[in-house]
Amino acid sequence: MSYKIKFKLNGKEIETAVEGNTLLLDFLREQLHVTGVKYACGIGECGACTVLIDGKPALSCLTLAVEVDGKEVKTVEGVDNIFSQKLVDEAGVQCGYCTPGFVMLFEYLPKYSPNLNMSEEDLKKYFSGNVCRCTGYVNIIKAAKLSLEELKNKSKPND
Amino acid sequence: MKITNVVNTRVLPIDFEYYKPKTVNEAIQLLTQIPDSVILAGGLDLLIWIKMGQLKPRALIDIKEIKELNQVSVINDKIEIGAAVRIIDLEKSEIIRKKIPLLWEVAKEFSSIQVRTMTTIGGNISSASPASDIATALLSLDTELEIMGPNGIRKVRFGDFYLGFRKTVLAKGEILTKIIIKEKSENEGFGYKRVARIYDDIAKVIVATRIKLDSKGYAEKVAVSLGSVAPKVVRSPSVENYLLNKKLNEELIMEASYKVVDDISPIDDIRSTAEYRRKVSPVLVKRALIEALKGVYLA
Repeated sequence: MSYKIKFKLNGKEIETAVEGNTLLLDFLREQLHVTGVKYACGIGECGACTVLIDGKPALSCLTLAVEVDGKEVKTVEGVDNIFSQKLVDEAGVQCGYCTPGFVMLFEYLPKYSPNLNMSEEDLKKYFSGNVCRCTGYVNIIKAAKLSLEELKNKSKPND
Repeated sequence: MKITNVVNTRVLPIDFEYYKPKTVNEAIQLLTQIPDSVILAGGLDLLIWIKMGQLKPRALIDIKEIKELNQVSVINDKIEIGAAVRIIDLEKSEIIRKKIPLLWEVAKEFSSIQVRTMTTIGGNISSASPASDIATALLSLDTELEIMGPNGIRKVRFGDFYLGFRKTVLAKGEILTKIIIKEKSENEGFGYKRVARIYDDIAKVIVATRIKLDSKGYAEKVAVSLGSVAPKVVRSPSVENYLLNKKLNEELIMEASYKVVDDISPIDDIRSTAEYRRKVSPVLVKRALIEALKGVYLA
């Protein structure tokens, strides 16, 4: 069955029709050609399909497209955060397939932990839902740490 | 999109109708009227079951944005949690942290961030997995459930909610609406231990405990509940009765913890073996009880 939906994707208003059984992941990739969002496990283990829905991370492989009616969806295409650059600088990217998921989850971090105080252990736990099979995580966590430090310095008032 | 006879995690192989009612009553009506309709909340179990061909519903009734199911309120000494409240909201709630520390602890450690933002507390417990950390914790607390259906409202003690593996007392057309938990009282401590392959994995064994001491320091209430060791989450009366009305210390707790094997019936499965579970359960019970006892003295 087909449903009309209206939502915002990376700031752009979109009005279209979707089938009830179309996953948000497929809708974004196949219908809207937004291919930053990746399919990997399909069962909520790996985080490669992470997007933000109304600012909160969601797995697009376990969300129906029709569910985002009236909401705001953000994918890696609509994000420009410091973490992306740090991942490149610190060699936190190898094949790159998991990277959009990591970037999207980092985007939520200031909301999850507003004081930005996270130890290395906290960061490992924070990213525990994102699987990377190339890097061994060391450089990803390092990039996250450096990004946090930079964010903290920026938020400090100049005296 | 139609792909049939292929079991995979890529697409939903069947077509279905989708409804998003605004009120619980509307949802009950839809559930009652449409045959083979099911409730969609977080979707983390449901959509995987549909992907795997284990469930072929005609309609999904999406209840997770119904306002009345999204509230946490304090009523006297009880906290009422709407069934659609997400795990991450429990983790971020000051009320839960202060008044139901055991549930807060479990919420904070629950799976990954993405899963916490999607999973609803009601969905997690009504999918009736014996490996639910949340259900294991609720079983140790004074928990009551509010259920609404075509015949009105009824209340069920959490201990009576599960009938077996993946089976609850929920009848067709009924919706779990509230989880009602008594707040922590004085002289009460809690423990929570689990073993899993990696940090955010489903557990091989889960233990939640609660100890309340009377004014003379004797154990007035002892609750020990376990997950992943039986067809449903279970309590361990053997351990509880052994400790009840006694002055607790580490030695006594150690003695008692071995009795847990009388109350569990673990199996071999993808995550662990029955033998391992039988061996590790007493260890976790001991540690969780000691944690609870220390918690009483710290409070």
